[in-house]
Amino acid sequence: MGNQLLIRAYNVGCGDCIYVRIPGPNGGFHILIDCGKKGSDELLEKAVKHLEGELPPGSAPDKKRLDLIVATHRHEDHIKGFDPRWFENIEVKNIWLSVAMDPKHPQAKGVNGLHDFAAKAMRGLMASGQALSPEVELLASMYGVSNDAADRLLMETLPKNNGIQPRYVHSGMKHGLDLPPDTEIHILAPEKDVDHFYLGEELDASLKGLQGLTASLAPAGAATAAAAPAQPANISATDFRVLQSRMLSNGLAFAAKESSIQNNLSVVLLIEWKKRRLLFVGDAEWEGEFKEGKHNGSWNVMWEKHRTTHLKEPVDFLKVGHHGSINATPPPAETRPKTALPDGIYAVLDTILPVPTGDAKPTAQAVVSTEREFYNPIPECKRLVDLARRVSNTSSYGERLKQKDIDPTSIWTTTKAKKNKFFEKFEKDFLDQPQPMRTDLEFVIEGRDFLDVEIPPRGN
Amino acid sequence: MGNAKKTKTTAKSSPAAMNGTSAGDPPPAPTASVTPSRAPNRKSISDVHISPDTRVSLYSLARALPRELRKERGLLLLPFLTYFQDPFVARDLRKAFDEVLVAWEPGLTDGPTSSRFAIVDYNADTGTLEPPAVWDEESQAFVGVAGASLDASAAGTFQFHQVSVWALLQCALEFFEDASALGRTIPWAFEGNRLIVVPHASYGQNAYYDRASKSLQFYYFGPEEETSEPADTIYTCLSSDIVHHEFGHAVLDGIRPLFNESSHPQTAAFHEFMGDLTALLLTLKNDTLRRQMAESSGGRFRDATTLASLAEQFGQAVKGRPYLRNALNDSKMSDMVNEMSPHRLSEVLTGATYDVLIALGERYQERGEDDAEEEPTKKKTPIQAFQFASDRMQRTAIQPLDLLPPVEATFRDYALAVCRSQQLSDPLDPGDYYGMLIKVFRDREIFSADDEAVLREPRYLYERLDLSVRHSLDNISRSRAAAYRFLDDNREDLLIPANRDFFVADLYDARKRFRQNLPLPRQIVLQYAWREEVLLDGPRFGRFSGRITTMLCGGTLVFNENGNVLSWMHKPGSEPYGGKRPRRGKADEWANAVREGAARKAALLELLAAQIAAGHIGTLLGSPNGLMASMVPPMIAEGDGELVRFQLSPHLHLSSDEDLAKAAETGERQWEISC
Repeated sequence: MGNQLLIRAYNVGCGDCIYVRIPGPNGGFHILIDCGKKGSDELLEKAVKHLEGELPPGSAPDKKRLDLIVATHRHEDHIKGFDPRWFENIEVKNIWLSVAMDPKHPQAKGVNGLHDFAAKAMRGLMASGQALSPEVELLASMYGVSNDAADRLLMETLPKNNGIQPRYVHSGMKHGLDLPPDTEIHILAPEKDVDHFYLGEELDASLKGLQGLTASLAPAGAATAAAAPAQPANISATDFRVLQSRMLSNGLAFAAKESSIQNNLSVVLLIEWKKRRLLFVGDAEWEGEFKEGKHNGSWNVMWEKHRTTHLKEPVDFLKVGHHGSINATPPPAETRPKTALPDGIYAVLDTILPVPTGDAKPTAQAVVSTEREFYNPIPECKRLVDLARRVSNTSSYGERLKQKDIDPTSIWTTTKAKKNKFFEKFEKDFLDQPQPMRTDLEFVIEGRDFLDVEIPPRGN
Repeated sequence: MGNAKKTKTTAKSSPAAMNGTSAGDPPPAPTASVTPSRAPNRKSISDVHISPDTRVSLYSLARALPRELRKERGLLLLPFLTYFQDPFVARDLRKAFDEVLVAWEPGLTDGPTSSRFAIVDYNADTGTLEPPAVWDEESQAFVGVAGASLDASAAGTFQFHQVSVWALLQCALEFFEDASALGRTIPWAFEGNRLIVVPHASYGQNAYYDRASKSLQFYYFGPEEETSEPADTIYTCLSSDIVHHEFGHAVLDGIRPLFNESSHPQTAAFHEFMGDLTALLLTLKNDTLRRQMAESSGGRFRDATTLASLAEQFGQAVKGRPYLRNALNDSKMSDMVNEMSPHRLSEVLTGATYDVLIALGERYQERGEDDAEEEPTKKKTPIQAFQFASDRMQRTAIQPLDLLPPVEATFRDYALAVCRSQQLSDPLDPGDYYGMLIKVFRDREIFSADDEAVLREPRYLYERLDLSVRHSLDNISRSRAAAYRFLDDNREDLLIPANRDFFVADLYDARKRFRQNLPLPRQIVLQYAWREEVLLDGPRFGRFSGRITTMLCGGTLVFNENGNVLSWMHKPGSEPYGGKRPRRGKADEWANAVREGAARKAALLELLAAQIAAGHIGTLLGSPNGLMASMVPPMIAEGDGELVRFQLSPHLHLSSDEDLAKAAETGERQWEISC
């Protein structure tokens, strides 16, 4: 193990499976932050099996010990891999889930209500059997029954198998863990009052209004959303179908909002070890500036709450948010519109990952766990190129691909990739510029199943 | 069909029967010993039975019959109760009933459904259809569930709402088709003739016109204040402002469908202006609202000493209503440099229109007007002046729409059309309305100093359009194909490139009227257009780089019945003539046209790049069950292959401008789902 802290980002496609090993007595402290991906499970099972080999022995024979599982939020690309069958040889000591996942949390009623509403609407849409566009299908798939099953595995089965209760964590909580010396874990997000900060009064009122009025307007015994309504007598069936498809769907609207809100309910951890600061942000997003009482992005809330404390100084490591999405890393200061606040969201990145001045080189590190598979603009290479100015572990992938004789046009070859021109539109112009280490391209070039970032103690 | 329906009796008789004389008749000369003779006995009109067939015959002549006759006993004009529940007006004014008169049609049926509108009360949240209001032939009215009367006591029922919104729209359509406005039946922009109206579409602060689904959709939302009664749901279908504003979009789309494809911000703003203009003019026309405003303001309107102060007070009274808020502002074009929000940009034109309204009223106060005036010399009160001006605005503001080019309208185009329309309807113009209009548009910087100088130069009413091949008007107006031949024969003169195919966008005949309801000469309007390819080359076009779009070019020619060209407004392309026919001394004109076309093209590319950079262009995210409201970008890109066309998206309203601000930060990502 040595005396360095290890961060290992497994290549799981468009997902996160991040292993953190903190040196210390008793074999150190071992954390798994998320285990999920969109699409098939193979890479996840492979990652868990590999992880098992890295862990110290548990108390029972043939068992390994994992000190802490953190599931940042409930999206499948973060939790699908917590299959108890894969963890049967691992003793899990603690499970942390976002406080928003606690069905009994009184300050998450709105968000949970929104989730239930969105799930019902999306399941109705899927059950209708009608053809959906790829984007809507992707959104609807997030509310499939399998996602509920994944929730239950994490909230019930896995804890039960390990004789523990999951802990629903929020900003400011005491961790209660037995950590190695010179180690601290701060939970920066989500705030305990989930509804207040991330849902906001307007959205809350809007959903309540919608549900209240819908309940009063739907006749008793009315057809469910999945069944076809009666045909109006004064227009044709075709006109009616087109009309229905061009009306505003609250189901879709709230599902899209809910999906974004879930990202903003991510558990964000700041791990401090030997004076190093390591930030793991899940899928936290930013959205404009902080607005009291309204729906906010997680970065906005964190900046509001922690800018004079935990976020006032640079970090040594950033797990890049949401697989490199444009709105999961705060924007560079130079893109600040004139109307934006100088000390608002546009000040965050320069604070936590400043661009070195003069001849100095960056010392911080970052990793992007990603794959351009499901979302055209994820990862957003423009953002990654900017991040590369601020971290030391970068790579010019164009050059490395050339050295390995790999034609970049052969990387993104699915039907969707070709149709949407993944390479031409989203990668080509950036391959010859430095980017932080990416799990997808490291796999293509070196066959790496994981990326390692080693953090020495400060002072070395 | 059985016995003819008895017509209703009315309380009053004609003045002639009451007084024995009518206004113009001389009294009968009395004789010394014989009592004055009385008018010969005749059957009272209340005893006249009209068969359904006779009624249909009268209906076919309806436009030639006086309004009072059409109104008589509900013969051809039927009264319907409408209900205003205006969310933007102070609480005491929010709710009001109004009776409107709607033209009877033989085909009126359940819905309501008429020749131009079909009310479909479908709720996307519940997935259910509300029972329609039913047409009861016996009572000549719509009735609710189980035959319930839809009087004021039924105002809370959805069937009442259905009738209310339908009646409002019927009146609004008639307002536009009236001879004081466009003087013709106007089409919709879609394939078909019935605009579908959804009065309770689902929960949301929205209302919009959507060409793709041929619909006007009105949403509803909960009480906006915690102290409100639960029953205070706001139904946008009951807000006359919202209904009229959205209808304005439908009308403009119908008469200028190619505007939808313009990326010029002023064209999108023109659409917003049209919505606000419709709301403004129809509000000004409504007696009940006008009276309510005057009464609720403590008689300030009556006591206003100047028209300007009256107009200001009216403006203040409607200030809370977003569709009318734009009326009272001082915005000029120079305030709007780089402004991309159509709502904000439209303020300049809506403000200018309000200036025109006030100026019209002031002239009326000073000089009087002979529009059916009984006492033209009597000093006019501000309220009288305001009402005159409001009525006059119908032709001042609406009639010029027919002169606009078919593709892309700027504020300047509209201002030019307003001035030209004024000249055509009042060539001698003793009141110098023409000068007044120029000043208003100049003050708002819609006209430049050069524009003003040119407009003020003396000119003849008609100038001969120099054409190579003359066609008779009869020939031109016969069909679109015939009109095409006329245009094709005269490509060089009309600045249409020789090697570019073009199409006749529209061809119609309008019969307008002006002061004292005098008929104007017929206007035969011919619109033509073509597409010039434009390559989107360079990184500033983002994901559209390398693709091809089109710049729409074209023109509108307006003839009178003698074939004189009343107006020609055109938008040239950047391509030269390119033909082999001998040039006819048009070199300068062509050079100017090509220069102007090149400038249009450059502006188009700049604007598109700006829209792309601001994240204003996306695709609609939707499903068979509907669209995602938060994901409707201001402009939509259509076309999968090399060709791409940019269209204005459905005009969602009542939502904040936050989405546009967000788009600027996250670019196109704004319109993608965050999973």
